[in-house]
Order: sequence, then C-alpha cells, then structure tokens
Amino acid sequence: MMWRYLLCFAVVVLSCHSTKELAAPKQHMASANTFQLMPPKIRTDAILFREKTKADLAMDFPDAKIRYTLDGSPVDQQSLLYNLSDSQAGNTITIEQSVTLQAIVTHPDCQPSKVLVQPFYKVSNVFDQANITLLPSADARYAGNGVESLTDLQKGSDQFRGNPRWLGFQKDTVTIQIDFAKETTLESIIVSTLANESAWIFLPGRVEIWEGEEQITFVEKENWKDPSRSGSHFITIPFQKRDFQKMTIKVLSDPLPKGHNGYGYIAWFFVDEIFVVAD
Amino acid sequence: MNRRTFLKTQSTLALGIPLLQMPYKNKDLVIGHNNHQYKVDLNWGALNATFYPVKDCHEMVQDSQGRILLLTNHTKNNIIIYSKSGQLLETWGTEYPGAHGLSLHVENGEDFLYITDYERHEVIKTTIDGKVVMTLAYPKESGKYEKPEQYLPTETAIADNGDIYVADGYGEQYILHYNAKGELRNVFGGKGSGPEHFHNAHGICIDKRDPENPCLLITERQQNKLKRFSLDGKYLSSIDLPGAFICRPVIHGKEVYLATIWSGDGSEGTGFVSILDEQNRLVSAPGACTPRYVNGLLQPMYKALDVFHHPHDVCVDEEGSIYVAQWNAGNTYPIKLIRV
Repeated sequence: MMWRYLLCFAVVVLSCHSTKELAAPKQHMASANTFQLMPPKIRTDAILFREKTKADLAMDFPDAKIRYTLDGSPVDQQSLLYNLSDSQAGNTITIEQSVTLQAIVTHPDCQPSKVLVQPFYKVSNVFDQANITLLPSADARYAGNGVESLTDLQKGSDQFRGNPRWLGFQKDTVTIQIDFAKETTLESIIVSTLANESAWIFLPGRVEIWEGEEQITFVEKENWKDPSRSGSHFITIPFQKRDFQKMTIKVLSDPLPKGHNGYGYIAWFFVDEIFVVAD
Repeated sequence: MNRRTFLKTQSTLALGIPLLQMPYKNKDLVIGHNNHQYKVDLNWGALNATFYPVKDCHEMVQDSQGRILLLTNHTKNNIIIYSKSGQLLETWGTEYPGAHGLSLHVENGEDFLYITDYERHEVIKTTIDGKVVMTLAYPKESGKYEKPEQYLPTETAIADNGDIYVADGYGEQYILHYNAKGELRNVFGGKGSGPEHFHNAHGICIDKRDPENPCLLITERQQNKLKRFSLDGKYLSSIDLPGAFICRPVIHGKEVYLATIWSGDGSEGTGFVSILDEQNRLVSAPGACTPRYVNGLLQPMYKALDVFHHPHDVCVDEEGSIYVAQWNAGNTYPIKLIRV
C-alpha cells in the first residue's frame, strides 16, 4: 500500500515538474504602472560656488513632468512644476544661497521617480590662503591634482575612475593638515566623499578634528545618512565656534565588513573637496 | 491595491458606476521611439531557478532552427535553449565559468557556436549541441602576451570564409584575427589613446550592410563609441553615442542593435537598449530618453524608465522582437520586447 502511495506521489511530482518547464509560457505584457520613472537629470554650472550657480533639470520622456522644491520641504505631485521647455530655452534655476534642490518626475501611466536630492553649497573663501598638506599622499591611481583638488570647488563625478577631481586612499588613517595663515573663526567643516561598495569605496568610520594636540570633536559612521548609497556624500563635522590658526582633520577608515568580497582589507576613502559654508 | 488602482477606484465610485461594469485595465507599457517601439514581456524566459539557474546572462543568439540560445556563466547549464515563446527546450554546458561571448556561424549548413571564456582565457568552438571542435588558447604567438591571465576575451565575430576575430575586451584590448583553422593572421587595436586603440573593446561583429565594403564594428564601451575597422585591421571611423555604454553590436536587417549596460556617467542600474539605423544614427532607445541630434551630434543619452538594470546583449528574431540578456541583474532571466 505504502509503495502505491509513493509511486502516485512520484508520478504527480514528476508530471508537475515536466509540465511546468515544457508548457509554452503565456505571454504577459507588462503594465506601464509596473515601472518607475528615473529621477530627473540635473545639469549645473557648479554644486560648490562662491557667488551664484545655475541648474537645469531634464527628463526627455513623453508626458513626463518634473516637480521640485528649493526650500527643504518634501517634494510631491503638488510641488512647483518645472517647465521643461525652460531648460531647452536655457532658462535655468539660479541659486545664490546654500540650498537643497529636491525633484521628482511624474507621469500619468508610470510610477513617479525616486526623489533627486542635490545640495548646493555657497562656499567660504577661508581656504584661499591656506596651506594644506596630506599624509600620506593619495594612491597613484587616484592622485587627482594633489592637495589642490581639495579646494578647487570642482566636484568629482560618480564615475571616479580616471576622474582627476578625486583623491583615493586605501589607508587606515589619512591626515589633512591645514594652516590657515591667520586666525580663522569656524564652527563646522564639510568633507565631500564617495561611496561605491562594489569598488571597495566606503564612507570613513570616523572623522576627527584636531588643533595641535587637542582633539576638538569627532563624528562616526553611525551619524552618516544612508552610507551605503552609491555616489557622492557630504559629511558635515560641526563643533563649537572657535578660532583656528591650524587644523588637522584625521580620517579613519574601517576594514571592509563581513560579507563583502574584500572582507578584512581596509576600505578605500575618496575625497574631492573640503570646504566651509559661507554665511 | 496600488496607488493608481486606488485612485481609479475612487473616481469610479464618485461617478456612482458599479466597479464590475467598469473593470480597470492597466495600460501596456510601450517603450522605444520612431518605428522601433515595443511591449515588454518580463516573464518570457523565467525558469525554475532550482533546476535551471543563471548568474549573469551574458549573450544570446538565434540558431538555424529558430531557437533562442542564452549563454550564462552558471556552470550548471552554461547554455539554455528556448523556443521563441520562452519554452525551455534544452540545456548543456558545465565547463565555462567565464562564459561571456556567444557567436553563431553556419558552416556548410551546420550551426557552430563560438564561446569566449575570460576565466579560461580561451575561445571554444562547439557544435550546436555542445561538442568541442576547436579551442583557441591565449595568443602567445602574437608576442603581445606573456601569460594566459593577460588575455580576457569577451567576444568573437566570424567572417564568411571562417576567419575568426576575437576582441580581448577585458584584457590587453587587442583584436586577434585567425583563419578558420585557428592560425593567427593579424593583431591590431590594443590599449592607447589613438582612435585605433581601445579602453574596453567589449564587442565585435562583421558589418555586411554594404556588401561591397564589409567592415568590423567594434564597441569601445568605456568611451561610448562604435569603431569601424577594415577586415585587415585598419581604423576607418567612429560613431559617437555619448552616454551609452554599448556592449556588442548586433546587425539585423539594416539596423544595429546594442545592449547598453550603463548610461549617463556610468552609474549602476542605468541600462537600456540602443538601435541605430542604416546611417548609424540612434533612432530608438527603449528604456531611455528620446534620442536627439543637434547639429549632427547625438545629445547625451540617459535612462528614463526603470525597465532594465544592466542589459548585456540583445538577440533580434525574424519578427523584430528583441531578447535582452542582462549582467548582474539579480540572477534574472532574459526579457522579451515585442515589436508593436
């Protein structure tokens, strides 16, 4: 009896398997609302600027609309409509203060895009006279223009290979020493860095600010927002307002985490700018 | 219920019309431009991954019987053979861990396959059912290589006379020209900054659209260019496709079809499909923004709709439908685009 049951069970299992693979699959056309638009493309003169900068948005896709905000409020389908013909006509958004541009693409049939979040920073001139030294120097493959790359207001792109804006290090500690040449009052500093897990590039584990032998403050990876997001990140290090003649920024990188195919090696740290936001 | 269905339901209810009389039908997606527009069948090649797993789906070709062959680097079944409707017909191949390039050539009425394997540093010619008939080892005789590890071939193209062109797209960027017996005839390309050089000679095919002047089309993926060479290795010209990281050219009729793995600045997950017309102008880009030319120059392309992740190759059947194989796409199976 038992054998008959087993035989029946085997016949059912085998027939299910073979029918599943051999029957001609039914054609199933995907609905438009299955798919999501991509965020708008942004073109800008500069993300870091001294006086003002311009930006325009694009999504050349039939019936797509772009909505955006500049005041920090969340963007949705009721936000300001970006006139796509404006960008074709060269009418761009003019930005004169530090702001965060947020924008989405909407469409009558497809899912709205994820939100594009693009900060713009009006940058102080405190580094103009500063003398900066790096210890150690950047890896020869990602040496950029040396320390000059750090204060030239030129952002590197996400495609970091062969991009002269980025400096790359695979070291547990990178020290950036800044001599401002005069007393300079500061209450924060921003490090512009990169994440790209598949290229072994991670946000640092910790960033410390020193003046001489005194550690002023530090921030750690627990503070990073969405650290695994591939692309450019700005790490802000705030501290109590004080005067600096010299400052040392120590960037400490962690080993690659468990589960990563480079587990145990030190993660790469990439930096393209350090700056202070203008008042 | 998704948001769109919910909104539709609310407006229908507001009109006081019973829902059963007004079933809401989602609109089929149509992608592409001009005369090359397509509906999307996401389920076309889906199989039971326990029995027929894939890793990267690298390339696809159609054989003389009309079957669609997929090459994956999963060594449980490197070749998966489908009918055009997506029915599984056959699998074979367990010895190609770096299976990357797949070309089909008909010789004296018989189909043969050329598999490039960058982990084995070899090109392997097989019968259509997988029997190995020739292996091209790393081209030591070229004088360009000191050890097999420098040779990472990505693609082959086979001429009518059986000559074989191999693109070393992940290695030293040479194009190696063999005769049908596997004897090295010529080497050209290589790394460098000249127009005849490459950073990523990823794909190659023989362009016979002008039968009097056949030439080679070679993708320079990193520089978003398609380069034309004579069959004896002389650089002829380049076709600029800014923003399009093109994998391999596939000629069907008078058009060139190219899986485009990344776009824009090369960020991950930004792929689409590119279709060039007889004049090598981009006329359709399913999944991307509308192609536009200003003063004869293509404006930079970018992904517009999240249909594809990393398209790596396309195969076009006699009905004009496109089968899209994807690299690094979560072990998913190919997608079929049905021409409308």
